[in-house]
Amino acid sequence: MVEHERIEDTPGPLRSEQPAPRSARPAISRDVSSPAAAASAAVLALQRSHGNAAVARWLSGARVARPGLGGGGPRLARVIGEVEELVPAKEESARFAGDPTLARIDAGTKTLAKGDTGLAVLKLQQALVDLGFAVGVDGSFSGETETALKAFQAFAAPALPQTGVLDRATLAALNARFDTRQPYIANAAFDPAVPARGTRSLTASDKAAVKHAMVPPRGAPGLPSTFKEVVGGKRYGDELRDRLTDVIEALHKELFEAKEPLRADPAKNFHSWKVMEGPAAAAKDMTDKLYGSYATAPAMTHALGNFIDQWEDEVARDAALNAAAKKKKATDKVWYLIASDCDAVNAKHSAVPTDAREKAILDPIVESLVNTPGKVKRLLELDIGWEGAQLEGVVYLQRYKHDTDEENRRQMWELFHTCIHEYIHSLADPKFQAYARKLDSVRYNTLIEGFDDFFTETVRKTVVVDTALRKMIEGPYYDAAASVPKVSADVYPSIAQAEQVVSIVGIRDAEAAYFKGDVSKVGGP
Amino acid sequence: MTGECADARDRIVRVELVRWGGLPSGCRPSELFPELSDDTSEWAVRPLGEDFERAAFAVVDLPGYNRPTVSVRDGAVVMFDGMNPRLAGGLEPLVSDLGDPEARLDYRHGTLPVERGEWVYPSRGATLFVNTTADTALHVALYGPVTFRQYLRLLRPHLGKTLRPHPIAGEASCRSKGSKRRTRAD
Repeated sequence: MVEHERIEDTPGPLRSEQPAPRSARPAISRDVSSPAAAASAAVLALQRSHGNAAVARWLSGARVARPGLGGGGPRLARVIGEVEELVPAKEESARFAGDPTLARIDAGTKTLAKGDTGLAVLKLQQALVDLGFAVGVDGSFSGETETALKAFQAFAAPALPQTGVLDRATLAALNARFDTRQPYIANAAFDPAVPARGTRSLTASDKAAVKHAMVPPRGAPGLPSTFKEVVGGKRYGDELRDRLTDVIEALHKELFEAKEPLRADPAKNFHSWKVMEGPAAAAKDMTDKLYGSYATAPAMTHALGNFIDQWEDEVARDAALNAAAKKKKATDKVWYLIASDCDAVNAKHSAVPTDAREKAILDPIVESLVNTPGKVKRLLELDIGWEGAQLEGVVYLQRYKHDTDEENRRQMWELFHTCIHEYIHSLADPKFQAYARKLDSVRYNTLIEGFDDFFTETVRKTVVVDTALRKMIEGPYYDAAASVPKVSADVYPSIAQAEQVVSIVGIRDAEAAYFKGDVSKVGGP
Repeated sequence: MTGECADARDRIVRVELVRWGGLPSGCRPSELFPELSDDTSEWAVRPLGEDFERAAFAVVDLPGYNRPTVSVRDGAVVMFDGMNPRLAGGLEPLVSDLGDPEARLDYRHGTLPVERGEWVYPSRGATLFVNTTADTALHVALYGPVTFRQYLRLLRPHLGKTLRPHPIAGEASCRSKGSKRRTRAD
């Protein structure tokens, strides 16, 4: 008999090739019978829902820098306590981020020229290839590289002096090109007659660089590296308990209490599935226009079974659970909230909630939040009212209408963007998914969510809003006189790691891996 | 409809799985569920197993399960699975009939982690996903007799849900309804 082989949806333990900021930083346990099981599950849930950076920051005491050439520094203050601020507010390419040599060039303290070698040179060469220049990619700044770089400098707008040297201005011009994502759009067509066009074989050092690039930077200087139970006269446990209590209260009000009455009159308060399917169909159309030569997938519709009401699904799940299972689910939810909503407290105390000292403080607090059926019920109701979820090919969402047409239009546009992301998940080749699952959880997130968002962002750049698209997305809320709502779209922080992988392997290799399953192009066997 | 497929359908509909010997090979969707078409080209797709091999799937209407799902590869049904199976006679006689599972795996039922709750009987073509106290089946998967390795690679259903990010608690009221966290202006 095989006992206890693996946990569903649990990739391998967290590993990093980079130094951990704290010697006691734990690996994520796969042993769900261990005391850390609930916390580990929460870490994995956070990692999969919020991305690598959130987990890395949590594990390192909330000290992970935002993407950026400098890798942190003055931006750090903005990330503490705000998971969403980990993602660049501007639409800037992360392609050249996280590289110390390129960071020095960006700072104006270094240049690269003929004769130089190394990963930064290779990234320059690959960037030139992705921009359409013919140059070998081997990490050696040759005459050919110099010639191609001069051609780019002449091609840049405004044109740069044709020095053939990678300096600050030339790097900025390269960044500007990739900010537009036009090089990625231009390389999105697959030619089955020449399937390997534009791809290359990775060397052993390329593969090592790729695996390194999949992991976000950890830690930041200047912050304490050990847990402090008392800060400013306040105890970690007391602050965490207060924060959790507030979080549960606020989420319950918003996600459940405000919504439950609406379920009494679905005809009045729910969008029909047909209305919800309009943005999904538009998302498929836009994605197929760009990547349809690589792969397509069926539409997302309720009738097909891949568009589900989250509320109904959770109610059905909970109905079959006994008290013990409900308590287990509620306990897991509390750990999830510690990971996702308590950053400020954890950062203040340099706390890693799964570390022994912190966990010893948190365990009784978590227990106090699930020690009555009423408390358990409230926690389960958070999942019932949760805005959205996904399960391998199936999207779960809420269908509530908003109060005004303007809000409903916005909701439909947000759904459109979400559906691009979910549809691109369904385009991932099985071999790519299987390879990702064999990696540790951080790299898994980079390959699955980061790569998805990398392609999602590229599709978003191709969206041309016209009347037909508006009608498709906005459905009954379409109003020619109204402006198209400016909406925001979620981006997983690991999109930065995905683009940094692309900076090494090139866009064609990334596409060959994701859509065609040639995982050797992203460091696989 | 072949006799074997009809018998399997009858057992599935009645959720009577004692003495279940596996899904017959080669049953077309319409042989198991007449309401289904054999043309799966427009069906939704799900990955199964550690190889993430795709299968077309359709949800059928059966009172004995939540979301009873038929998965098809190459025109043949490879798996039937459903949530909250109302097992005829309950769990105990079925477990008694199936004997010791070949493996008890950890799995996630939606967002509920269940330790050693995925009981795999590959030679019988069945997997029971039980709850944390192992007294209720939360999910059942039925397939043709296979080896444990084949089950892991090609059939094991993915049942864990991933929640999408939510607005920061306590700040939600400051945002418009429907807005999400970690935003990036489009």
